[in-house]
Amino acid sequence: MNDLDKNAKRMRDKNRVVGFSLLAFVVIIVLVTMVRLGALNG
Amino acid sequence: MTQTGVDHDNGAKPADPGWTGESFVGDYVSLLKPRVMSLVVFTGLTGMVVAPGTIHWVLGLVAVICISIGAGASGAINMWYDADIDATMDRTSGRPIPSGRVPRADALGFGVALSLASIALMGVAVNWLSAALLAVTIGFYIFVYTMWLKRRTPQNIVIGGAAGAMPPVIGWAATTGDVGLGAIVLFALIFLWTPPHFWALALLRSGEYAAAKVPMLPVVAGERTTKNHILAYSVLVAVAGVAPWYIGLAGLTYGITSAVLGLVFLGFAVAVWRGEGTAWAGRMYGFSILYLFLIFALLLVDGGLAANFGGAGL
Repeated sequence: MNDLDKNAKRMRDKNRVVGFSLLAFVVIIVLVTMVRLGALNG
Repeated sequence: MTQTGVDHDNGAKPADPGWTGESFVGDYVSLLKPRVMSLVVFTGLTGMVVAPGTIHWVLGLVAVICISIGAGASGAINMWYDADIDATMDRTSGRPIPSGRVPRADALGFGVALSLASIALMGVAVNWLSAALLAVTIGFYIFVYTMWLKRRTPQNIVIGGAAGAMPPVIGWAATTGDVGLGAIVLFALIFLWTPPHFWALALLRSGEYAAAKVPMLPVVAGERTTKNHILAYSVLVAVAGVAPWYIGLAGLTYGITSAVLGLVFLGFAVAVWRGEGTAWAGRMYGFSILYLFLIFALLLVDGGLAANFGGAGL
């Protein structure tokens, strides 16, 4: 694997991790907001 | 240069001796030390459940996620800092940084970002006391244990153990918004359990720790002194294990079971103390993990029963 491939792969991996983390973060914030608004209180 | 001769000046240290460019998402997950995370989740959840009061299940879930991510993030930063030590020890040489699968700088960025995100999320979603406790825990683990104590004193895991003992306190604070006597008792239990647990491991791996210039107790003070310390701390663990029953945090069944488990723990410590070499250290290490798991499982069931049926559960 040459340096160019290494860096491309590194960026892909990073983007996956960052993307998944952001998605999880947004889902959690939405859920917390729903709790705060009483939408999930049963 | 630290006292143990390990250079931590950036630039002077071999940054990425063999980054292969072959990292996978799984390598980033393993930076978070998933096995440690699972224990942290378990003890944090127990603190949350046994605390008086209730918390919405979504907020409770978020609190557990924040505690586990915070713990994992500090593990990633620990791996960033300790990459040189990890590379020299069999147990840790396969970790993502020393094996060249994740660049050191990426591990640092990953850890710092997740630390900040977990603290912020805890504050916004749960309460700011638990967020502050999480921040203190992460900071203590990184700055006090990893950077300051680990390479300088054989008391490293005694004082550093405070970070590992914090999850139930954070869980407790998530439910109640304060820190009560029960939280302090759970903290004390893990705090006192940590030294005999790690010293049993250190007895087995003293050669590796010596080669890595980490001043663990068996390296600095020898096998006999370490065994004496393990025995002394095990007496304290056996007493601390019963304390949740004594203060009314758990029922009589818990009290009796924890007393028996404590005596078994003490029995292993006596076997280590009496045995030649490291004959019983591996078994002591294995049982110490089982002990903590069983104690917190009992507390969790007890707390769950108490929450659902009133009074002390088990």
